[in-house]
This record gives sequence, C-alpha cells and structure tokens, in this order.
Amino acid sequence: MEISGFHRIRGKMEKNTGMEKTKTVGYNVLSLFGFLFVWTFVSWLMQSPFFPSPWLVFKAFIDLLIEGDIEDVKLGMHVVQSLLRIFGGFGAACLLGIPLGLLMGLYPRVYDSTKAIIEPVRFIPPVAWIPLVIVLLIGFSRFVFVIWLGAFFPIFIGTLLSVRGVNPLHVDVPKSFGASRMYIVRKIIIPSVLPDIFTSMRVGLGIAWECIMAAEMIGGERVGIGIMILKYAQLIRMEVIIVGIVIIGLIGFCLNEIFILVEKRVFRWKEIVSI
Amino acid sequence: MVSAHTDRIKSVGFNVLSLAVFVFLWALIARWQASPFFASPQQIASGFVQMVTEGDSEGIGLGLHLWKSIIRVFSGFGAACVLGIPGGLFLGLFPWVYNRTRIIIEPVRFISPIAWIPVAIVLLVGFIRYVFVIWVASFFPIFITTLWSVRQVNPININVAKVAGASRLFIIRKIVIPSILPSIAGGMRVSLGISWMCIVAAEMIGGEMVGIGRLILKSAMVARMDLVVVGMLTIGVLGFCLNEVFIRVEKRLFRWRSAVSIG
Repeated sequence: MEISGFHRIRGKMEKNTGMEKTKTVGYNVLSLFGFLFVWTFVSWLMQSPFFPSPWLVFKAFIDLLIEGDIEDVKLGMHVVQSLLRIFGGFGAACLLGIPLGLLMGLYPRVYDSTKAIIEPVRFIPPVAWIPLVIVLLIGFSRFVFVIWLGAFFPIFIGTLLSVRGVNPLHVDVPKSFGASRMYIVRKIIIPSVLPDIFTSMRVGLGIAWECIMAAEMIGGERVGIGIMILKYAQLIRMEVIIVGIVIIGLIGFCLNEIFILVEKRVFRWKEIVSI
Repeated sequence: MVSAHTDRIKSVGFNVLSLAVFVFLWALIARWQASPFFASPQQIASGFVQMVTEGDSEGIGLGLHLWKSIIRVFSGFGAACVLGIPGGLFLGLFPWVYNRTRIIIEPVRFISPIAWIPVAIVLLVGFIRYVFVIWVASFFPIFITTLWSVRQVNPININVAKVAGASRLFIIRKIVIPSILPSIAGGMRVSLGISWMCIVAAEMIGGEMVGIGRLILKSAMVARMDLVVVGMLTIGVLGFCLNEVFIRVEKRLFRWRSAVSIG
C-alpha cells in the first residue's frame, strides 16, 4: 500500500515535471531580464560612476579577459592562481583532516583529553591567522597555510563526529560474529562515514573559497582574484569590481555543484537505503 | 551516575594536563628559538596585561577594540535577522516566487561575503561599511535555512489542521512557525560564526583604526607577535562563548523538541 501510493505520486509528478520545468526556466529567464532591465534603467537614471550599467560591466569583463588589468595580468591568470592556492591548501587539509578525524573518532578518549587545546584553535577564525602568516611565511605557502586552516577544521570535526555517529547496531552485529577490529573499521565504519566526510569536504571547500579572498586582499601578492577586486576598489572602478565578484560567485557555485553531483553519483546507495 | 561523574573529573584533569604540556612545550620551543617571531607564553601574558591596562601603540585598549567589533557584528547580524527571517518565511510559504526568481538570488548567494568588502569600501563609509558586510555574510544562511525549513514542515501536521478546518493564518501561526523555530535558531548560530569571521577580514581591509581585526594586523605590521596572538586568542574565546551561549539558549528554548524526538 505504501509503495503503490509512492509510485502513484511519483508517476503524477513525472507527468507534470516536464511542463513545470519549462515554465520555471521561462520565469527564471524572464525575471533575469527584468532584473537586468531595472538595473540598466536605474544606472541610466543615476548617471553615477558608482552605479555602472550591465553593458559597462560586460565591457570590463571582455577587457579583463583579453587585455588584462592595470598590471597586464589577465583574468584567467588571476582565477588560475586563486584556484591553485585553494586546491593546495584544501588537499593538505583533506590529507591531514580525514585520517586524524578518523583516528580521534575511533579513540574518543584522545580527543576528549586534548579538547582544551583543539577547541580554542578551532574557534579562531582562519582570517585572524592571516597577519601571523604574513609575518612568518612568504609566497605560495602563506596562502596554502591559511586555506589549510580554513578547510581543516570542518573536515576534521565532520569526520570525527560521523565516526561517533555510526549506527552501533552495524558495529555490534559483526562483532558478535567475531569480526576483527580492523575488519569492522574497513568494512563498516569507513563506508558509513564516507558520505559525511564528503559533505564536510564540501563545507571546507566553501570556507576555503571565502578565506582565499581575505588572504589575497591582505596578503599582498599581485595576482589572485581577491587582490584584483581590491586593486580596482582603490581606483573606484565599480564595473571591474562587479565582474570580480560575479566571477567569485560563479566559481563558488560551480565548485559546490560539482561536489554535489559527485556526491550524488558516488553515494547513490545511501539514498536508496534511506528510502 | 557515579561513574559518569568520575569520568568527567578525569576528562577535565586530562584536559588540564594536556593544556599544561602544550604550554610547556610552547615555552620550551620559544626559548630554544629565541626569535622575535615566536612569542613565548610569558610574553603573551604580559602583552595581554599591557593591552588591557595601557592599550596598543595608539593608546586604544583591548576592551574598546572588542566593544567596537561586537557592536558591528550585532548590528549587521540584527539587520540580517530582521530581513532574513521574514523574507525566508515569505518565500518558503510561496515557493513559486523563489523558484521563479532563483536565477537572481542564487548567484548572489555564492559570492563570498568577503568579496563584498571592496564594494563596501567604494560605496559606504564608516560604521555602515562593516554593518553591510556583516549583513551580507549573515543574511543568506538565515534566509536559506528559514526557507528550507518551511518546506520541510511535516505535511501531516498541516493536513490534520486543514482537515479540522483551520485557516491558512492559523496554520502558519500555530504549526509552521513553531516547527521552523529550531532550524532558524540553528541558522542564526551558523551565521553568527560566519559574521565573526567576516568582521575580522572587514576590519583588516576596511581601514578603520579600532576593531579587533585591525589590532591584529597593526601588531603584525610592527612584528609584535605577542599582541597578534593576544588578539587571535581573544577572538577565539569570544567566538567560542557566543557559540556556547547560543547552544544553551537553543537547548533551553527547544527542550520540547528533544523531548518529542525521544518519544
């Protein structure tokens, strides 16, 4: 009865989704055009350098892409540099955070006894480390360290908590069949924490993307999407700033979407089970 | 119960022990390095005392720095709550509005709040500059969680009330709002953490002389590492306290929730 009801609803939904989808897309395009129109109109009304029209923003984008900024650094270069830094730090955070979280989750006593050291560090925002990093490190490692800090704690804590959240029933059943500890960790704990690890990696990547902006603005290198917009803020060129923040938003969105898609793909079994 | 109590004392003891070992190691390494870039715990303690009693190189005390930052955070956070909760509730109750304007909202949501700092620098001055950045940072978590939690309200609860002939307003007031309040509180807590991070960045980049973020950067410029660490620890402790207070209040207010889920 349950199942047939479920199928009925699902069938009904499938019939409607096609129509609904085109309608939603249509309205979205419409509202985007409405938004652009209002924007153009308001900027035309204001005639102020602080409120550039969409057309000016688009021109600034093309200029940045082809000719580069005031220091002849092209937009692509800025983006690639920022992404390299992100993935450097994020990779390091994964490499350290996942095994450490797993270990501390398996031996909760270690974490409980050293909480007094870990917790205060966890609550210092990664951005607050930037001045320290500026003094102690130089160049690429400076950014990697900040990103590492930003991404490490979400990944570490997420892994740790998910190990604790493993269903005890799943652990106890093989135990009563005489499975070894190693077997339980490999076959039960790791598969059940993987989805949570993935989610916390996604969260960590989001925080990393935020930190790289701050690190680049304060850290004083000349290449990077964060410093690019700050450079133009000092010149009061609003249109370039808008190009920059739209690109930051787009990249952040794409990173998140890619992660969600991979998550859905890899952990299809999880959804099936939970249904 | 008894064993829980001893366990607790034991865990506190181990924590104190590990902290002591950590500080000892730190002092040892600082002594061994003897470098101005590696402040020892004693230096940090005296730096703290100096900050509280005399203030930094411009005579601004730690309390004032902290107070300024807190005012900025809570003004922006308050503005975000005032706009985000009703906005999220509205768009959650009328999902078609959100579905059709998504293409405008989503890209803005993914712009990291720190990227708005240059915009704020160009367009705004003074206090409003920081409030705007904090508002951007905390608005979206609050807005999105409110919106999602409205959609997640158990349809059975709504349908039962509907069958009994309740009006739309009654359902919103008595069913939707009480069931989303815990998620809203969770969203508020998350965004308070994010705002706390953003205020530090905004103060470093925004160029006012007072504020805890500024204090750290200023001290780093003159290589006073002890003051940098004092600032960082202050931020960490304050962030931790805010989070704890929020969790306590949440637990208190939504006791019924855990009671329900146990049953």
